Amino acid sequence: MTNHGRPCAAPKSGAMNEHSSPADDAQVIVVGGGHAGVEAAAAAARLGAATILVSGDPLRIATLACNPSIGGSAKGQLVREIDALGGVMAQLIDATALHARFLNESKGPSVRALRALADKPAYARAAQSLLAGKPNLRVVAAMAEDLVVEGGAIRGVVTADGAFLRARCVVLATGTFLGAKTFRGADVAAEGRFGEAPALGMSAALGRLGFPLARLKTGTPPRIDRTSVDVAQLSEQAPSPTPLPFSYRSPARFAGPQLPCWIALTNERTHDLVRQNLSRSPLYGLDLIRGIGPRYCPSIEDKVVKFAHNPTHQIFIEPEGWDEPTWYVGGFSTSLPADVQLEMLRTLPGCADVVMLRAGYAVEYDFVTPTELDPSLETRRVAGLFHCGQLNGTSGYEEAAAQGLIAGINAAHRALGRPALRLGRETSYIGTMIDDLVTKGVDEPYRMLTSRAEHRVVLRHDNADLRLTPIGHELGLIPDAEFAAFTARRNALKDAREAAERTRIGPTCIRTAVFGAGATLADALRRPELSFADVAGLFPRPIDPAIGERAHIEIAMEGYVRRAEAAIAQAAGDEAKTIPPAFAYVAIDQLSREAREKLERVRPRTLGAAARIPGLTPADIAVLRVMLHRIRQSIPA
Amino acid sequence: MSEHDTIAAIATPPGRGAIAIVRCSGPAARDIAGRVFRSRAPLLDRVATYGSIVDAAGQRIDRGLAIAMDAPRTVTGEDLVELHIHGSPITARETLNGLLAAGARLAEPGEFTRRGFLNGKLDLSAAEAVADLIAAESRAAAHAAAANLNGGLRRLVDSARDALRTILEELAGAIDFPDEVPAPDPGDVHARVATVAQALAALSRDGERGRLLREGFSLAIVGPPNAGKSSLLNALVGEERAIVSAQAGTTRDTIEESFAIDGVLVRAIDTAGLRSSADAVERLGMERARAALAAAALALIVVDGAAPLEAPARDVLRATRERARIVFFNKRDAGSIGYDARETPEAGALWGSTFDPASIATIREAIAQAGWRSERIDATRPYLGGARHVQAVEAARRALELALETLAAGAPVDLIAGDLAAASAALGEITGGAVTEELLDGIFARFCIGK
Ligand SMILES: Cc1cc2nc3c(=O)[nH]c(=O)nc-3n(C[C@H](O)[C@H](O)[C@H](O)COP(=O)(O)OP(=O)(O)OC[C@H]3O[C@@H](n4cnc5c(N)ncnc54)[C@H](O)[C@@H]3O)c2cc1C
Ligand SMILES: Nc1nc2c(ncn2[C@@H]2O[C@H](COP(=O)(O)OP(=O)(O)OP(=O)(O)O)[C@@H](O)[C@H]2O)c(=O)[nH]1
Ligand SMILES: [Mg+2]
Repeated sequence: MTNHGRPCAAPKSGAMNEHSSPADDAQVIVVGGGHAGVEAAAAAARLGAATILVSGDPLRIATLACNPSIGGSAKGQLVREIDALGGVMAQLIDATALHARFLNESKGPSVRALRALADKPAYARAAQSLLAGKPNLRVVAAMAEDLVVEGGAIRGVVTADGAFLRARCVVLATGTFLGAKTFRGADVAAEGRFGEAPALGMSAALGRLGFPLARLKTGTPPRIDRTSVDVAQLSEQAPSPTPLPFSYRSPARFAGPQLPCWIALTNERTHDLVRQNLSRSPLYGLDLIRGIGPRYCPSIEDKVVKFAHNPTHQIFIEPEGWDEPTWYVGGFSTSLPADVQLEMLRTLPGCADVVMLRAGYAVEYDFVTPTELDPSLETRRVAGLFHCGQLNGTSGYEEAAAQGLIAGINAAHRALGRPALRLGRETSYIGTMIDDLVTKGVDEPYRMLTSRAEHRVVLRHDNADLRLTPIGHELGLIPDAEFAAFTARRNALKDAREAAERTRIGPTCIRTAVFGAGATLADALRRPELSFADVAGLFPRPIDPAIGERAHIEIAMEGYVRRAEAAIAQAAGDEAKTIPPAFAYVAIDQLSREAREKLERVRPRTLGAAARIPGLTPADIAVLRVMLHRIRQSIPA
Repeated sequence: MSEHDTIAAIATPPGRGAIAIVRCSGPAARDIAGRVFRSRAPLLDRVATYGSIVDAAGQRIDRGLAIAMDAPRTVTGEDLVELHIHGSPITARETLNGLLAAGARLAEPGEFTRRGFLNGKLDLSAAEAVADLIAAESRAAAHAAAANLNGGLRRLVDSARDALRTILEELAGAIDFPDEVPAPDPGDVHARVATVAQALAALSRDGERGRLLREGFSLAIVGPPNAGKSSLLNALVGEERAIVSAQAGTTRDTIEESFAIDGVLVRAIDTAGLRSSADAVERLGMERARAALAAAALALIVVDGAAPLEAPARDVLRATRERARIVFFNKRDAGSIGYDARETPEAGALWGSTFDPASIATIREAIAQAGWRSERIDATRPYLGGARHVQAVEAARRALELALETLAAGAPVDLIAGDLAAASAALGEITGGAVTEELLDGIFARFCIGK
């Protein structure tokens, strides 16, 4: 785990440029080996920056702290994008998936998404061995407790044992660990998550530097012994019969066997237990938790209280690994005392004698307001300091990994004197998420949702490679061989589309669809009732079904895509108008005081981003446009 | 808000001046103006050209001048077309609507000035002034909009938005939480979207009514010379506004004067008498009379009832048979010469005298009846408050039409989400409110979600 990389890229070689000094321990230090930190470290090292990953317990790197699931609606698109750009999450889950399903297949190509359950320990091991084999990367087992800043720029971190690790770029990916407390009934523990120490010094260090910190909360359900459940009483959810990898680069089959999941329903007895014990809840009766929890991930207490009229709630029972004794009880997140949790579990069908192996808990932690960040994820307050993952107020592995990738790329680029990568909303869910974070901030844990992506018609699962792989290759994250495979795919797709437009099929009848004389294959593919398989045989040359499916989506979506692209082009002008970083909003009397304060706080990078700040009016933006123009004219180019 | 589109607005202050100027600026200014302005001669740079303003159906709204000015030597620094038309607010509004229908976007407050500034047309020190202007205009616009948002309209727009938001919540909930929220039935969604689209279409139509209350009702008084048109105008207005004389051809130009019936402002236009004439000035006056007749919501045809019905009177009666009109046989006091019924097939024609207050009362009654007391126009129903609102409702309605097409084609439900959101956003411009945040709040309030 603690290899030092190959000689050619050893940190102290002459390859370092003006942004580093020979006395530095690395060019990039990543703090925290969660999903954000793993991507950040892997990307920075891959881009050629000498990188150190500092993490509390290296054996807990890439732990899936909560559910075993990766992907899902909108999150699945994030994973595809991470992969297309050259990140690692997709390959890790492909290698360790034990149950995969496509979601939303009937709801439209733009929202189709893949979700898989991981063998949790196998996932973490895969990540750890991937990092162990990375040139340029060194893993240091330590808690970083302080930040060293000189002249407004980061100089390194100080670990709990007093060591000073020097670098010009530091990526903080500390997850739920800052000032963290866990709750099980009245039991309050100083923990970053189950059984791990929190990071206490780091919160204070960030506070001293002037970063605004606030509290959020999340929770996890109990884990049960899989041998203690009578599954005959549950309804089974089968995995997809065909393998469905996330990565464009993965082999088209899963490494391990596919397992089913189960659905159970809560009942009045479960709800009564919740109600009777609310006085022992740290959230309700005890009132110990101040942090705001995610609405899309309510605890069972919240569900029973806020949806009192629902006679039952769905519970998803999912294996945590091929050989793991535990099953995860999805939808049953709770911070009630352990004894109540067990009683509640036993009200579920098939669970009369269930054995609880680990109680659920809630965790409350500090996060740093993400409006402190540039879209490159560098903080504006401290040059060279990057924030990513749960530290920015998001929640979820995929959200963390996507930010980690961007922060890692940009930290390496800064260290290597290359320009920052900023992805716009129109390029990706990643860009949409980061823009939301840095322009709107968060007031509850942020989760990626399709409804946040106004351009989702063009941000699809199927076309992530078309959107991002050229960028990934340009960056140097996608190797030439993989890029060649991508270009072959892109050409095949183009050929398939052209063949479909050219090939006449009519007059004919396919299933229930009738076609006139001039009809083409493309016309057939535009019919919602027909699939690629229905017309595959009509192509002049055989088409790889994977390419055929993609051609089908593109042809069927063409009109919608064109409209979306027109809207994107309309907005492009304002997205290109950058605002100087030190622009003095306070001096513009024509802006309302509220608008001035918001703009000072968020400091949008472009006029387009300014327009998305909640509460700013079109008139504010018009005033800003005029004032910016004055600046542009008065500063000689 | 992009600067690459083409904007239009009425440039002259509201109210009635001799002329109104409607401006259009941007890369497509000439194309767009060309769809509204018809002339025999092509539009040359900086040359005034005489021609007609036509509506979408090709019907003439007015005659006037068009002046095209090519970029960059214009106030906005862009291609600019000015249409100089008669100074009635209705004509100006219809001309503007024509430009909007042809692809222009309604200018934001201060946008012409702003574009000029951005294109280097104004001194740098003018930036402050421009910013002041935008801030002030938008405050004024906000007040005006608030005043316009009568309770009924707000309720209508809100209920349309609520209906759309509910559908969007169901769609987004089903997409983002597929295991927990069932997908809505496409047939049901179609029916609900169609209901909202119909409500918006009705609201759009009712835009007419709003316009009536805001801008008044136009009435053209036409007829052969010497029939008593000017006398009638004076009687309706209650003062000696137009010159009256026994000589035929007294009124040479149109004369506009307003009075109120039922609280509605009636803008009456007295016109030159219509007959065949060799006199050039008189012919010009008659041309104006015909234009006023074409533009007016209602025609009041005045004919001398004490003399035999001659060719000019017959011609007017025949020419206006198909349009909204009131026929008034005047000078009854001078004794009817007893037209025979075959010659005056004018059912519902009024008989009387401009000297008789009872006749004037009857005519006022008839104007209200024909103008707005019918079912179509009811001042108590909600109406849209201005071109901006009308445009927003129209944009919403068009987006819903697209969504309905998508649904009818059997395409997956997600593909309508964008259109529904666009419709909701357009309506939000009337009442305010951010779509995404409201949507998420709604989802989490309605569905119990989360594993
Ligand atoms: C109890 C619980 C419940 C959760 N529930 C949900 C849920 O319901 N839904 C959901 O989407 N997500 C949930 N998650 C969140 C999910 O685990 C995180 O969003 C995701 O893992 C965040 O990734 P990250 O990389 O930002 O941080 P983490 O995965 O938290 O990783 C942080 C890493 O940094 C290390 N570290 C922290 N501080 C330091 C330091 N100062 N020095 C050195 N190393 C440090 C830690 O040891 C850890 O390895 C939950 C997490 C927990 C703990
Ligand atoms: N006896 C009688 N004379 C009327 C009446 N109304 C108008 N007159 C007279 O008819 C003559 C013409 O009236 P105007 O009002 O000037 O007629 P006009 O239609 O405006 O005429 P032009 O402007 O020339 O087209 C005047 O001498 C009026 O006094 C009426 O009800 N009875
Ligand atoms: Mg007259």
